[in-house]
Amino acid sequence: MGFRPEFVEALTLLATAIEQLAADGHSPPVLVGGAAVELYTGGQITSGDFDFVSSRQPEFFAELEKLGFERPNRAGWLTRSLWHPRLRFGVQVVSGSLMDGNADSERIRLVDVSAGPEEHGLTLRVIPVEDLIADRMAQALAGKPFRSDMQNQAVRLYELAEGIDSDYLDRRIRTETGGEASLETLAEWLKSCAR
Amino acid sequence: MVEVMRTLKLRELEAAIERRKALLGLSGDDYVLPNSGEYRSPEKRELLRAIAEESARQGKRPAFPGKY
Repeated sequence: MGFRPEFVEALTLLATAIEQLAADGHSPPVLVGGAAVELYTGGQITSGDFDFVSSRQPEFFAELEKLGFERPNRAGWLTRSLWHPRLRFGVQVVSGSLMDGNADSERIRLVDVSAGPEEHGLTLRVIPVEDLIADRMAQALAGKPFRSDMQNQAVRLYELAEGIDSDYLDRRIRTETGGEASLETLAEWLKSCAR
Repeated sequence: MVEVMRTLKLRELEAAIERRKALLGLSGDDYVLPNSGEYRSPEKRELLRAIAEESARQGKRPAFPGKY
């Protein structure tokens, strides 16, 4: 399957803006949400927008607007969103801090989206996969009824990831679910989501 | 020991996922469920609706399932 070309092009544009932001001395935004799931599953789901955590939304959006992103003149359009008319995807800043400050920022995944194998320097910051799994598990359990879509995503993210830190993952699941679940719960879910 | 802040090339990540898929015997395109869309925020619905409408105006299909 692999990543769709529009997704890779979008990542490249986003990383370009983020690199400029970092060069200006600002804390770089971190990719979260469905687009992070798309990234960590090799393009198995298709996200319509890119959610970021950033404490520097105005500066981030200013960089994106230089790259062709727009704030459409449309009733109901909100200040937290931009879109790219040609690539037809949106960008939202959903929060100012990653997982309300509960994620270990040292574990943020750096993904170099530069085109060639010898090229470097276009780096995207992505939520650690352990935190994304914990987030999906918390959403699954918070749903009334239980959300099987989020359960499935948590399981597949776990299965497809290399180098998971089990201790950290367990800790993050317990925190995000208010103690309702743990790594053991995820192991049970693995059995129920087996193909 | 935790490996932190290591930079991974996008294509390396893609290759690693492909290795895991092969190991797990995962194939097809339906083993990761998309968001149901039921719990989207009003802001998110508005954004996705705008993208879908703009896509239609351009005579194209949106890149995501039409759940907003």
